[in-house]
Formats: sequence, structure tokens, C-alpha cells
Amino acid sequence: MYILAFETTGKYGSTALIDDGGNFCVHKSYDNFNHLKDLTLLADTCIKDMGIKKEDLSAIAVSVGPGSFTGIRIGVTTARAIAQVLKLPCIEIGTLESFKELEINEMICPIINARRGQVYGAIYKGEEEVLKAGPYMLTEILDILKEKKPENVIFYGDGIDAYEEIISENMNEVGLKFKFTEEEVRHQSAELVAKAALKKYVNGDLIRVYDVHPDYMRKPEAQQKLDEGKL
Amino acid sequence: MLDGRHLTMGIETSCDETAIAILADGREVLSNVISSQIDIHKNFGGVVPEIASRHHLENINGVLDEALAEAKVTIDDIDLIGVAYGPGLVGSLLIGVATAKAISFAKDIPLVGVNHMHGHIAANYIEFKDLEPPFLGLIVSGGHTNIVMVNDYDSCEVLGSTRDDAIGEAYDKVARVIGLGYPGGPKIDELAKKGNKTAINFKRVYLEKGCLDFSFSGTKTGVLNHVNRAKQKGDDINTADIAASFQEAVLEVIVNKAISAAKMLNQDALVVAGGVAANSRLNDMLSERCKEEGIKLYKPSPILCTDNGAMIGCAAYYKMKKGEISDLSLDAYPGLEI
Ligand SMILES: [Zn+2]
Repeated sequence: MYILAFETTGKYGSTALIDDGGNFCVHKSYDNFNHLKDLTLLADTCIKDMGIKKEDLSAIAVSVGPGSFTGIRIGVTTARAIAQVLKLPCIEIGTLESFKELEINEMICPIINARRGQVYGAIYKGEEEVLKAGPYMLTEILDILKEKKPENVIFYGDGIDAYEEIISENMNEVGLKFKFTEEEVRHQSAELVAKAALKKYVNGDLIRVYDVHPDYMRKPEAQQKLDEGKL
Repeated sequence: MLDGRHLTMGIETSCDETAIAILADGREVLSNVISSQIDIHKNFGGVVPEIASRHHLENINGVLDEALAEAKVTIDDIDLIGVAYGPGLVGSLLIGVATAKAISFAKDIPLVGVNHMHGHIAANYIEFKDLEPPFLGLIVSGGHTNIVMVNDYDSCEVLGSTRDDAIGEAYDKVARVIGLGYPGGPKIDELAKKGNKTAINFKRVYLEKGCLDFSFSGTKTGVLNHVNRAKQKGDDINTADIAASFQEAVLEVIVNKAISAAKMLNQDALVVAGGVAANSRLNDMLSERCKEEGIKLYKPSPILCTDNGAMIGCAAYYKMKKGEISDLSLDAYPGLEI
């Protein structure tokens, strides 16, 4: 049993291949936002790496967002088309939920920059969802952390790149111990998607190609304006 | 392969049409499925790139299934995948390119990236089974107005292009000014049939002598000024007359330049391509002038003039014949030149 997994919602695109024993390989692109060009090549490398044939695949997994709208689309479109022509089931993984697969016992806070003080974020402690993945103001998330007062909190995601100073100030203000992860392990990556997908596969949590949808968490700007009658 | 015939799948998503077709031996259409988003975008007065991209993603798998079913083939029968990789909206293009690459990877089918504009020209190979390059081409669409010399299946030389708006853009802008909304081209064409084309003498811009370039912004501004003046004076605005007169002005220039290019280059044929090639008045004017001048006119039927997968598949087939195969690193190029 093999699952091919895609992660393209952040700045580095990646593909992973995992077997039923949890053994995996992962290949990443270190070019910023070069997902369209690189993604199928990375998948091809994974297949060759593990020495399998595409016919050996059992399911296609994809990180469906939140994150870069364009990035989300490249991953979801690629996953859908592969699953469609190979007649395979799909597995949807939320980008923020995938960070749980780091299996860190401390409180973690993945945040993805959504600009203008906003983030897509979540707070997890092990399997516990302290704050459900969603669109928030950064300050809302920081207020929850201040209120929960964990021993330590580890931040992930490109929200750090954007809001490092504000986060530091807020955490220091109440004397909370915190850590920003290093660039190499900061961002979403396909092996986390693959690990989460393996669990879903074992649970029979499989969906059809047509049921795989991006989780943008936001309407297009033009649609918002139209809905508000401001177009 | 199907009964010894080579099968090409053509994928087209460069603007607001999600389209996939299956062709046999490059020129015979087995299916040509087009899912249009016009009804969605007309609420916004034009194509909204983010919304177009979201809809392409939701539509494309269904379009693929339909294209295979209608052609009565399976994905295993397909020998080649062609995809438009530019020019166009980047968010739209990437859905087609990602899909084409994913299928090519999953099923080990050769892939060819096609220039969308070469696709428009190739629509004529489907319509006219004996047509072969070289020939003189006129491309008129939402984003392009070009007179080209098509030297071969995969190469063409631009002899003239627009210095400001493309013809389709000019139509859209004028349609907005006279309250017709999006898409402007077909709406002006329809309304113009009820108007007097000599009612208003809008400027015809020919630029320097012998020049094959175009400029439509002056004519467009002329329409705007005419409407504003009428409003100030409180006169009634006859939108049908404006539509007919505007259309006459811009099409007259296009037709005259295309004919003079044919004469300059000693060409006895003119091949028209692109969305605006479906315009009825352009068709009448070209037919008449070509007949007078003894030039043979080629123009695809309307379904092949709009963006479609068949034209991309056909262009891909001939690129493949020349050995021009793409690999999995194919990317989208929104500004790709003809
Ligand atoms: Zn076009």
C-alpha cells in the first residue's frame, strides 16, 4: 500500500510517498513558489526513489489549505487529475492540521500569513485542538495563548516571517516562553500530509476525486464586494 | 491508439472557458467539450481572474470525463496530451497545465505545451482538411489583433499588431460605455444589426503608410466623447447606431489592412482566427472584399473560433510531428508571445 502526498500551500512545494509501515520519502523544491514547474517532477522522483510503479499507488493525498490560493490550486488540481486517471481514492488534509504530525508534546501554534494583521492559524497540544484551524486576527490567537499560559509554545508557518516582532512583544509582555522554529522546519511539508493521510487511510476516511475541494477560508475579493453590494 | 489512429487530447483553460477535446490523427474532432463561465463573470462586468481559476479547478475533471465519454475512448487510448501554456491569465492557465502534467505523469503519455494563439490558427486545420502552411493569417480576439505570416505548423511571424487595445478589448469598453455589459463582442454585433452603420463617422486609424499595425483607442475615445456630448445636450442616445458605426469603423481598418497585406505579400489566401472571427459583420466584410480581390478566405465555424480544446490538440499534434515534445517541467507563461 502506497500513498502519494502533495503539499503546495506554502512557499516550498513538496511531494512524499508513504507505505503502510509508515516508511516514507519526501522531495522538496527550494525555489520559492515554483510549484507548477516542479510538482510532478518531485512526484516522479518519489516513485523512482521507492522503486514502485504508479499502478502500485493506493490513494492520493493533498493538503487543501489554507495558504497561498495559487499554491492550493496547483496541489489540488494535480492530485485530482492523478487520482482521476489512475482511478484512485483521495484523502484531504487540512494544512494546519498536518502540523499535528510533528508529534510534539508541547503546545504548537502554526500560523499562515493572510496579510493586514490576519492569519490562518490553530493551536494544538498533542492531539488536543486548543484552537480549531480557521481565519483569525493574529491578536485573537495571541490573546488565547496569553490566557492559556502554557509552559512553552512553538510557532510554525510563514506567519512568523510576517509577525515575528508582534508575537515576541506579546509573549514577552506576559513572560511566556516561546520559540520560533528554524526556516528549514518552519513550513508545511508533504511528509506531514503523508503521515496524516496514512491514519485516514487506515480509518477508511477516503473520498472521491470530485469531493476534493480547496479550503481557501476566504472568498475572492470581487465576490466579497459583490455580496456587500460594493462592486 | 484507437483502430490504428493516433489520439490527441487538447486542454485549454487560458481565460474563462474550461475545454477539453479528443482528436483523431490531428484533424478529426471526436469530442470538443467547452464549459463556459460567462454567466458567472457577467455579474462582475468582466472576467475576474481569481474566480475564473476557482471555477476551472472545480470544472476540469468533469470536462475530462465528458470529453472521453463523448469520444467513446478511455484515457489508455490517448497517445498525446496538448495543453495551452500561454498567453492568458496565469491562474487560469495553471489549472490546465497542472492537469495535463498530472495525466502525463500518471499515465506516461507524451506532453506538448501549445501557444494559445497557434491554437487559434490551428482551428483552421480542423475546419479545412487540405489547408497547409505557409499562408497569411489574421488573428482577432479578446487579447490580440495580429496580421501574421504562418510559415509552418509551429512558427509564425508577426507582421502587424495593436499598439494599444486589442480589438476584443475595444469592443468590451465600448459595450460598457453604451450599457451593454459583458461580453461586449457578441452584444455589439447583435445590436449593430438594428443600427445604421453610417450614422456616426467614427475615426478610422490607419497609422503610417504601409504599416500593418493597429490602434483602436482613438476610435474608442470617439465613442466615449460622442456619448458624453449627447448626454450633456440631453439628446437621446441611439445605442444601435453607435454600435453599428463603431463596429464599421474598426472592422473597416482591420479588413483593409488584411487585404493590403495579402497584396503586398502576393498571397492568394487569408486565414482568419480568434474569438472575434465569429463576428457576423467582420465575416460579411471579409467575404465581400476577398471575393472582389480574388483571395480565398478561410474562417473556422463559430465553435472553433471561441477558445476550445480541439484547436490546442491539433496544434499539439503538429508540434509532436516536428519532435517538439515538452517534459514535466512545463510551466505557464501568461505573457507568451505569438
Ligand atoms: Zn483565445
